[in-house]
Amino acid sequence: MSAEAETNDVEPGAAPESMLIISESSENLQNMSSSLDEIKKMQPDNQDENINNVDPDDYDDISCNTIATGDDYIKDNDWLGKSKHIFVLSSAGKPIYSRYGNEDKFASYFGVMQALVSFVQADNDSLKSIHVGNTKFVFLFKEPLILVSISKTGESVSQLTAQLNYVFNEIVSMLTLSRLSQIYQQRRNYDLRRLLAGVERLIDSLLDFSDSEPSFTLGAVKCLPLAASIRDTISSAIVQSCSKIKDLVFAILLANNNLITLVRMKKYYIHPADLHLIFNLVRASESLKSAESWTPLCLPRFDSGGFLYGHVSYLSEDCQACLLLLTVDREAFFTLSEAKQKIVEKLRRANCLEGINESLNVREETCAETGFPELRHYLYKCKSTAQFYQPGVGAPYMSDYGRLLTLYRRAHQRLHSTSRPLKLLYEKSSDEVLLAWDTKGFELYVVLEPSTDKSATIALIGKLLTWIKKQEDRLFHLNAPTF
Amino acid sequence: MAADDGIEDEVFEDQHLNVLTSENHKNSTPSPTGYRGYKPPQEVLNLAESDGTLSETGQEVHKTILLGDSGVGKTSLLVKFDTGKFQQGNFAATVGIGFTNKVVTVDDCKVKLQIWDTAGQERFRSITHAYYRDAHALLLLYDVTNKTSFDNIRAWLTEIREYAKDDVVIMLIGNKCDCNSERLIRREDGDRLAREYNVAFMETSAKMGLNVDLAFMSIARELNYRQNGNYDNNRFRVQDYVREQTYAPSCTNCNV
Amino acid sequence: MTEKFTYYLELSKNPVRFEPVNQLTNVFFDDSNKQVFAVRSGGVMGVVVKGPSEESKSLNFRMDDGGPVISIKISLDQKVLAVQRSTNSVEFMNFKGSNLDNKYSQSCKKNATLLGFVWSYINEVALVTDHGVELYSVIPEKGTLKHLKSISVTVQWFVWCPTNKIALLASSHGSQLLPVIFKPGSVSKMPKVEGDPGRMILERDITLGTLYGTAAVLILRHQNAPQASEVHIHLLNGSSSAPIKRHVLRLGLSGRFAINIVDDLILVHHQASRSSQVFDINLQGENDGTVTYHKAVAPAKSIQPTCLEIPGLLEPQKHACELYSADWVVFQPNIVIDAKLGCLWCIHLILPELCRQIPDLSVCTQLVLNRMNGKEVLLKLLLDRIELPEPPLQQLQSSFDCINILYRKWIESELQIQTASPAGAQLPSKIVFQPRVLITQADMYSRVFQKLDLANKLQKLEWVLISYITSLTQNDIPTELSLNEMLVNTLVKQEKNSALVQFLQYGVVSDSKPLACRLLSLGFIELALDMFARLGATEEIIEILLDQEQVLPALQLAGDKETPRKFLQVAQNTGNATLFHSTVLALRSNPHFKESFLKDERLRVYLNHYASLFPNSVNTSK
Repeated sequence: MSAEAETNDVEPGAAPESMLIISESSENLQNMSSSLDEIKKMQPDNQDENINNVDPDDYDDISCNTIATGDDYIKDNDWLGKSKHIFVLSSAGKPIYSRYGNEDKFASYFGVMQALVSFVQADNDSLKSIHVGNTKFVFLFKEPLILVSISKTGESVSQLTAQLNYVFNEIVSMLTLSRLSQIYQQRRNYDLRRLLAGVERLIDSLLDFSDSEPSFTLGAVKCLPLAASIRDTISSAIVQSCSKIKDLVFAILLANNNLITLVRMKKYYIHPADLHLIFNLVRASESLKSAESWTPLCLPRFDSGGFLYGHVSYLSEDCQACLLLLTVDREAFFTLSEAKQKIVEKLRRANCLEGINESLNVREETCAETGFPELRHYLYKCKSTAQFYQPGVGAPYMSDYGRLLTLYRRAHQRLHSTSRPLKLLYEKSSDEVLLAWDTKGFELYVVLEPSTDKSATIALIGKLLTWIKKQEDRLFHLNAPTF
Repeated sequence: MAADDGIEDEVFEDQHLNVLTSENHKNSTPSPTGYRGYKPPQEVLNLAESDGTLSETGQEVHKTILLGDSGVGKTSLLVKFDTGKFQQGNFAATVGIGFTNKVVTVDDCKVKLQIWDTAGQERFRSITHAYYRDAHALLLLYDVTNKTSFDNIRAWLTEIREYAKDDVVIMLIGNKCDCNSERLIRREDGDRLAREYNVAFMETSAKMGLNVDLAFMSIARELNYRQNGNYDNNRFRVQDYVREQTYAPSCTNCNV
Repeated sequence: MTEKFTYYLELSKNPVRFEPVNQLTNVFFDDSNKQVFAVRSGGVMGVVVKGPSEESKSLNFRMDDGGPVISIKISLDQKVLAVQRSTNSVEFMNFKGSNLDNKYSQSCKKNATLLGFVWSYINEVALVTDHGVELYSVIPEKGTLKHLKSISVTVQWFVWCPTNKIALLASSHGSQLLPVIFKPGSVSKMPKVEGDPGRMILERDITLGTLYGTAAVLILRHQNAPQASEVHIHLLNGSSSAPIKRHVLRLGLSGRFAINIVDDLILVHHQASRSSQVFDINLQGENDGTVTYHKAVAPAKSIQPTCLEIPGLLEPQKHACELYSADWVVFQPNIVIDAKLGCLWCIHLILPELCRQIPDLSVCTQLVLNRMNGKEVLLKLLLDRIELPEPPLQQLQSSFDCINILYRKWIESELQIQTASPAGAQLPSKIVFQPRVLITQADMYSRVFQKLDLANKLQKLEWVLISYITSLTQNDIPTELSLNEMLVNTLVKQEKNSALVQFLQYGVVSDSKPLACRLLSLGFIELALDMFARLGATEEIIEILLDQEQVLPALQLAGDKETPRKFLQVAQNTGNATLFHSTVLALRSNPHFKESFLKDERLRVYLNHYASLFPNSVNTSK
């Protein structure tokens, strides 16, 4: 099957330069860069008062009233029946977050989790996971927090760990890592929930989002299919409107969890994991639709030590694409507000808003509609640009996309298993044929009719790659514009 | 932030979160108005052509900030005032600061309000402080069904005194006054506190629309009045005006 | 097995009784007709002829006084009596009713001394003299004889074998042995029996008999060493080839012996030890290339004691017969005569008892397979041995092999008959191979396996079945369904599923549709499917797969004869939308069924169902 793929010099969707940092699948979120200092140093006079230096003691700790454990969740079948629980606690064992139920009500279990982690840690070891039947207990200790996932979903330890990392980063993105560490250095028993009011909603959303989407597993983002000319026009409208604005690091236009374009400051890249947090913020914050917003936002992979400031707004009432202008200048709101108006005006004149709306209103073609009836669905990830494409979901997964995701996650795990990674996976069951293929340039996950034999599968994949190649400038963002 | 407050916040938002996510996921049409041939309202077009400022009127923009604990209904109040709609089920916590321009007519005068809707969460406070300084008016909200949000008003007022201009117009608002059965703060408690700090006070319901316009209009009227000179008596005027115009909720158990 | 004293040889319960030898009476035995002649006073006082059994009609007659009788024999058709009273002639008398008349005689050649005479065929008589053999045709109605043929050879004594019509002529004190064979109207020499040169043989040491259809000369050899007597057996395979010594029976004794042949077994009676040994030349023994040395198949045992009823004064008395008495005379093949007692017995073999004395089942099986009426004995024997607490599995295996080698030969011969003979044609000249003991699968099933099954001896049944089926397989005999089913059931009852899988996989249990159905009914769907697949039973597989709701695999097997509705209906009934989707898709992309979607209105309902499951899908259009 390599014939088709290798004859093309570049795999579909590849571009000379990417606006995204190329991500390897198993997210190593430890490495956080400190891009902010670099950008700020370019400023001659940086009078920034460090907002990270707020002493947590300045705030009255009025939330420390522990609630008596009246009703026990362990006896609650509804609670027990959840296929995945996520808990966040401080390294001192204080409850911070629970996916389901009120975390205060099982403070004692948090104590057990903390004890487990610290017990193992006492031996200079770390507790990764506990396996009981088909339930996995996965632990992630990220100073100063402990994150725990209890899952019956069949996801692998590394996938669950990656999800916990996302949860940690979501918290960091609200507070910055510096501030998080500082808070606990000053008060080990601090109840972080007072600072995270409303963040639980973002975490809930993040978990739902990552459970219902392949992009997190793939470490890639999906682009809104657009004619290359429209996308280029949009990019240049942004570049033109913002070129004179100093300190603007990223301009991101997205709609319906799809990326439309991303313009960046030269030399700086955004990591897909950070982009996922941004997608999640927009997805979870309906209030952004009611007004132009101005918010601090930390991108942990970009710089976990400080905030970027984001001007966030929907393009217009008649075009529900969300524009984020991220700057290091905390006073730039009005400048950016003005730039946004200009961008919208340019886009309107160039009929780009209509173009975006059209793409948003058209349901993505299913494989059957494209002319591959035996192909039920697929994921194609171009590694060099960290972008992926998936067709519309057709029969028989229309109402059961979750099953498809479970298949993809399992295949992804097999390809990226740390102990025994596979290059090619071909699995035939009575329900479907699953093929996963990891090449230098791309990853491909294909689900086919169970009656498709091997040779037909190979032929189909060849045809599919050719089709993607033909469509690549519509499906992928091939340029990486800069200010 | 109080635990009670947090719970309130969560309950309120959790109810609608699922609706949100599923809609976002399934619905490929992002906006009901994003159809072909859509013509944006004239004012949007004007806005686009006017470079985003309201300079054509040649009048000063009055900066007004909505403050208060998370979940007391700041955004709801603003949206009700701005659009006349109550966003039942479509509400989510404000991210950072929301920015809304609104032109109102008071005393045959056009008054431009630039309304800053702040996030109530503690972590955003450092960024909101920066905007207190420029504010002409502050609407400080609490939730009549949430005692903590009322108790925190004193802390808010202390903060305002520290960061805001001395002559800032302040209005204390007890929101959600339609929720009689869950009410914890009596109207007279709010009134007493307002008198203590010498600020205007009213109870509102964003849901029912009760006193919403009045709150903003009285601020606009006051700001307009001050701009046109008569500075000395302003504080008393706005309070008097409010007292005259307020519609008290028609209920027997709120001790009015 | 409790070792009660058992006998494997017995004398006939109802012996032929005759007047014992005394001063007046002489007794003669004619081994051609197996008749005992009690001749009183040379026949003047009367002759009583009895035999061959006590029940057969006895003959009484008187003869004229002619001196003492040397030999007396009735012709094979019982019409002419021949009596030798001198050394040079034989008298003949025709029977007329029970009386005799028309006496005539025949002398032998001049100067020759008559050694004896035999009735070779009806109305043919041979006089054996010291000069050779003279063959005459007897013409009773004319009262004359006609010379047919003569052989000139020196004879000292001779032995006659009535069954094979062979006379063995001995000269040089028995060191020269010449067989001659009689044909109607003719007699001819056969090649000499190769004896040890210069070694004398007494007449009583020679036995002529038939072993497994072949004429044989059995020569008792008294060796110099003690306990080392042997019987040398020379087989007379046809007239042309020389009789060769093929077998040697090692008796391990010395003294006086007598030999009988019963059911092709050689019985050697030893007078001194009053015991008998049994030999079977068909069993394996020590072989030096030409000669096989045999040992007795079982420990030597006495013949079972027997009693005679003697009329007493008041009531009959029992008289215990002395066995191995000095008065015994033994005749072929199985006759023992006690002339003093006036008894003629036949010796019989008690096969089950003999078997009991043979510990090795394999040897025992080989022995029984060659016995007349061995079938019942063998089946019983097998069951008995299997039911032992520790059955001899190894011996059982070779026992089955022996059984099945014969079984296989029989099957082949049956097949040849069936294939070689067109309808109505004459059976081919080739003789049907009919083993003495034929044990078929049906026999094994009903007489051995079913009994084990009924006794619920599953482990044993499993072993024995596998052993038996293995033997069948090695002999290329297809296993019958009943056995395969039984093995499968046995394994299933013991929950030995992995063994079952292996037996099927390695073909120990052979494939068949009924067996596959049986597997199916036992719930071994996969195994049944595999078997059907090996048998190429597509239709059955499709039905099973559909029954299992495996619509897609079924569809892949379906030819154009199948109706799409069947598959669609099953897929729909499963309630599995994915399956229904794939079924519709597979049917539409299959050239066999594509058309019917356009033509067959009855499929409309399924397409509507599809549309309800997957609205707006491309497959719903058309």
